[in-house]
Amino acid sequence: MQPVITLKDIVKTYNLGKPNELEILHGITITIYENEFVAIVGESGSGKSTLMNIIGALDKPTKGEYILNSLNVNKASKDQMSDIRNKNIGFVFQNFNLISRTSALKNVELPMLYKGISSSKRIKKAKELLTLVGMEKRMNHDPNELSGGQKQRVAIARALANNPSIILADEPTGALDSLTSRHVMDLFHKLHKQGKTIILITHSNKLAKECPRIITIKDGNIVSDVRQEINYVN
Amino acid sequence: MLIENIKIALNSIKANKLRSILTMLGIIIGIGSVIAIVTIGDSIANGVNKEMQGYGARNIEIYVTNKNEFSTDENMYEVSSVEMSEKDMLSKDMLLDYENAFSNQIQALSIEESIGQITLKNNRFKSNINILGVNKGYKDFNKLEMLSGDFIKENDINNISYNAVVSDKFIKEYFGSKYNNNEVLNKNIEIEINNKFLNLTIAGVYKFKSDEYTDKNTYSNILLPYTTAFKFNKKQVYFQSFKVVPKEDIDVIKFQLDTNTFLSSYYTHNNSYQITTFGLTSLVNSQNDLMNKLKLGISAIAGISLFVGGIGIMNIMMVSVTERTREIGIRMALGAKASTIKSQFIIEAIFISGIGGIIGLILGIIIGTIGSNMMKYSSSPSLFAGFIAISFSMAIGIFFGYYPANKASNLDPIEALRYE
Repeated sequence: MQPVITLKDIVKTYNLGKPNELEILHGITITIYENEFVAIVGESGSGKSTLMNIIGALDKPTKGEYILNSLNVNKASKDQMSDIRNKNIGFVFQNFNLISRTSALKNVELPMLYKGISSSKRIKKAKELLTLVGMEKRMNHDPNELSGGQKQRVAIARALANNPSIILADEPTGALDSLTSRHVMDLFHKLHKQGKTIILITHSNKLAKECPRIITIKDGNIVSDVRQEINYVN
Repeated sequence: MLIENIKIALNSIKANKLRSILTMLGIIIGIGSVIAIVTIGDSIANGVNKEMQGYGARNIEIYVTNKNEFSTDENMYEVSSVEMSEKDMLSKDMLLDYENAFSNQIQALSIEESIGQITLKNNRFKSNINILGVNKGYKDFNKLEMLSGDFIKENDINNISYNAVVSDKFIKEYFGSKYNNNEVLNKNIEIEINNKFLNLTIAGVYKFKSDEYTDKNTYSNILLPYTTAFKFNKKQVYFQSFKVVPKEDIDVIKFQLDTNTFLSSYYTHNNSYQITTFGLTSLVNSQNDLMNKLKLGISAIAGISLFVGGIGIMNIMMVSVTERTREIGIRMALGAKASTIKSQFIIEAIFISGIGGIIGLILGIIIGTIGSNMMKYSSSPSLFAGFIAISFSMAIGIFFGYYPANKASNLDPIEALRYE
């Protein structure tokens, strides 16, 4: 199987060289393969957000190597990183982060817009994706007309827009009630079955237990990395 | 991407209609006031021009003068005709050449050749009558209104006819109430002047008007073809002077200069005589000066307003960027480059100021047109000014939008995503 993400000895230090220098990550090494469903679990302050930003090519490590799909993220410029994110990563955030006063359809189109895809192709794909997540009836609604669960589903459709190598979900059910959370997790399982690679960042062990692979991070170090058999029943 | 940015910009402006309009206000007022003032100013200038035309302030008088005696101060001059011979004067052909050369600038050209004055006595009063030989252009130059019959025609001049044109005042004085203006046509009048008799046929009657600048209302004129006058005076047709007035839209100062240059070319080898032109140039100059100063002053004030309007735009863009920090973070996370974000906000600024400019232009045209119509003489706003106005307002958008747009593009996506 192909490694999608290779992290080697990742160190992240803030305020390097200053009196308040702080090392958050102390040498993280992880390899994530295609079609894995991985949970990265940690308490707040464990460094999981920092790790997520590095995996998401939003930030660069102070030391170490990050290869994403054979792209060397360390050596990328700011513009190149934008490009890498656009083409390889599908973000799903805890608070949805949809653009307000913009329809669900236009929200899903956005990553494709930045990729340079033509309007007609964008609209077609966006409609397909919204149908996939069950939001075809609300395509033209603005985010403020949608419930939390609906917003998250639109966000997931958006994350799939450019057919990314990985879906990076940061506490995707954090703002949702238990029923809606269930729907969202079911959606992730469905996508996983369809071949997608999903990384779920969470502080909830209960949620993590749904994933076939659980990486636990504590105080900036990986403390465990286990694979388990999941008998997932919808 | 450009089209998308434009759509995003318009969407953002629409979403915050009140705020957008308040932001545009500075630009609207600045552009609107410049356009309105320039339009009204032009119509005032037009009006003054027309008034001056009416008062004869734009009339140019051309004289053949003695090189030695002559002083260049207006109004005080000596015209010596004693030693002037025909070769020193302007011929009919020279005048024709001049008229042709300046045909699209000349409104009217007037020639006068005086025979003399007579005194008419009747029961109640006596008045002095001027017997004057004139050309066709005399009528337009002096803005005479014909009440009946025709003014001196080309035929009259060529045939040296004895057709005369007189005023209605003269008709009253000479005939009493015997004939009205129409009945008097083709009637004869006989005048004794310089011990000679002049028998004239009345061909036309004009409306007498007194000159506003000189008290000539005791005078009236009998107008004959100038060829007839020259013949009566036993002189060849050569001119020492004539008068001309340019069309309303012609720069009278330049016209006077060009006229002088043209006619002086006939006198380059004349040692004794030269061409001198007179016009109320100082009056015209000061009027032009005043108008220009006024327009400049108002434009400067409007410029300040535009500058303030631009600052307003920058202010609002800064607020807009701060408000949309999270949105910018999301866009960057999804793949928007710094340059994309920068263009997005600059285009938004250009649209705010551009739309403000268009609204200001329309408002300025409306106010300017209403204002100029109230001024008696209207003027239409120039397309060129409108084009300048729109371009300038868009430039303001680019200039004042740059800083906020730059700030937006330099945001760190991680920080921006955390922003509440």
